[in-house]
Amino acid sequence: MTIRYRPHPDLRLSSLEGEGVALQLGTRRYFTVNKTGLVILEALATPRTLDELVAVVVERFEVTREQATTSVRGFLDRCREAELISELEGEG
Amino acid sequence: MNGTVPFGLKVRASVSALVIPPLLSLVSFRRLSAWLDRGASPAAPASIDPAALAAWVDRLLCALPGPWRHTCLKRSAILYYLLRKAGLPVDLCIGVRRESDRPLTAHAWLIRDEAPYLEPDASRSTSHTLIARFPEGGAAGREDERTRGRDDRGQVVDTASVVLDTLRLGREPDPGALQRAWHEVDTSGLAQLVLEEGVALWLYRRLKSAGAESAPEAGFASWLSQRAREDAAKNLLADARVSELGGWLTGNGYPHVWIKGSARRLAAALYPYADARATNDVDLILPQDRVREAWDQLQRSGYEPTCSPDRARVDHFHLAALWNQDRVAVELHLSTSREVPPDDAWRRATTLAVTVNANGLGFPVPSATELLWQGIAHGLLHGTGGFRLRYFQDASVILAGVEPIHWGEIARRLDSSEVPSRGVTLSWLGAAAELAGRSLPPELSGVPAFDLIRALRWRLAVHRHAARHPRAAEKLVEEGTRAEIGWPILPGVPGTSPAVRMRRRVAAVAARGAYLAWRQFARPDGRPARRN
Repeated sequence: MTIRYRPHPDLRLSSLEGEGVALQLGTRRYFTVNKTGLVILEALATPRTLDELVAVVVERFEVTREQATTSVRGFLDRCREAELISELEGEG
Repeated sequence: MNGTVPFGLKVRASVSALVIPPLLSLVSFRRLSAWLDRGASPAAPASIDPAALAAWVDRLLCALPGPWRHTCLKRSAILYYLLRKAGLPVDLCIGVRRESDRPLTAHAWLIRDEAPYLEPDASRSTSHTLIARFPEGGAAGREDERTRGRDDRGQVVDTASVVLDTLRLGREPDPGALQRAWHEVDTSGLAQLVLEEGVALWLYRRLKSAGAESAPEAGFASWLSQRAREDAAKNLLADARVSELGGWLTGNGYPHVWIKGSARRLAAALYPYADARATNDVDLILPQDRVREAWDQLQRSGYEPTCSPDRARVDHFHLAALWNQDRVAVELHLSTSREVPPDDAWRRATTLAVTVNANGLGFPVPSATELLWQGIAHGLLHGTGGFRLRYFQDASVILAGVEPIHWGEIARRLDSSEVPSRGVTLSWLGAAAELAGRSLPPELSGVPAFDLIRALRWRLAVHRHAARHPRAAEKLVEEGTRAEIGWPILPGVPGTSPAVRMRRRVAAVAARGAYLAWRQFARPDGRPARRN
């Protein structure tokens, strides 16, 4: 099984000159995301796996693959908790 | 903790409750907080029950007359002093809140460990936007405070000019110059000014695009970023309503054109910074023969009027606003003005309309000419309120865009009853053009533009010196703006008693006098000139 991540249907995202503001329409809570978070959420326009998101971050920012994996995984966990993203299970 | 207040502490609380409230009217809170903080104890907290002490102070203030009567600021200031003296590290916060067109409200509260402390209703504090927090920074912070307001040659920095230079469109600001300027800006009163002008999101985005969002004094920078993010989140809520409603209207075959803020946000790709304004509602126009039907059908779909039908204005140019569970008001317009017949309004909205595609749907928005005219006419509908930066922004973003404007059509409408007068409208439009970084075509030039810099300097001076007297501040700003426009002193309100009219007249004359005296003698930063 491969887990892909996709935006929650209630996620609305706005870019503020580099940083992002994410609104959860259902809970009406909003979150500020930094440049990396914005890139990740924007990349989820197409459902992606953790590895694919790490590749996006490594390509855009000067970080090692290990650093990016830790950072992306933590970010996805927080986003899932806040119902900004959801998981999509499928065949690898 | 024993749940009661020791006798000695009761005496100290009583003395504080008698002494501190009058001082709040006599000295600035910044100075008073410095005095109160001198008694702060660095020792471990004494064995007191803060909740019992707060209840005692509440009872005292409620029992005292007039100048001592309970307010959140008096309560917070007294508890701030007593608790810090007892070794409890509390901070005092002051915040403001504005809901749509309601007056600005302020609230003071204590925090401890970054959470509201001893607040009867903690949600009240979190619903206010923080504008000041005490104690302020340490020695370094105080030094910074003294030097702000002057540049490295000791020259006075004109805060209003720096704000306008930052907001001005049509060119990207020089990041280095912007950072240097904002580092020197005296931000006292600036948060209130930015709130009243409605430009937090615009200012923050301009600063951020130049990488200068951290250049202003830390408290202001933090407030501005928080406020801008709140505005951006509210805009997302309105955007979601536009998106859902657009699908509904298209699916049900209702012709429509998005107008005002909704249109500007949809068309932000054509007009940079058109989406950098807080939007609370959603506006669209429909043909006159379909608008009532759409309004009825929306109610059958779960929308309901935002106010009871008897409170809805029957002569208005849109039907009573509707909303559903997200509480974003939707206004279905028959026209854009009481002065424009619905058929004309629909023709204007659809002539050369542009369709913006998003999420697989088309969202029709008016041409640049119509968006500009809507900005002008809507702004000037608000009297002196229309001379706030947020209304200029509505026109400036269109002027700064590259879409063609049919100036002949704008010139033709300047003599219509949609605007107060040709002269005032051209003066307003001139200021909007300056803010857009462009000039008006020759046929519309010749009338001096409304002096935005001077108006902002005055408003900032008012916010700095009269912030604790909101009605006086409002009158001072009103008369200052009227004087700049060239309008007479505000006449009395018809239907009020002669005594009320006289009192208002006297207040207006005094406010006008204060403004004229300030204009004669003020320094560039808005402070009164001093003789050496």
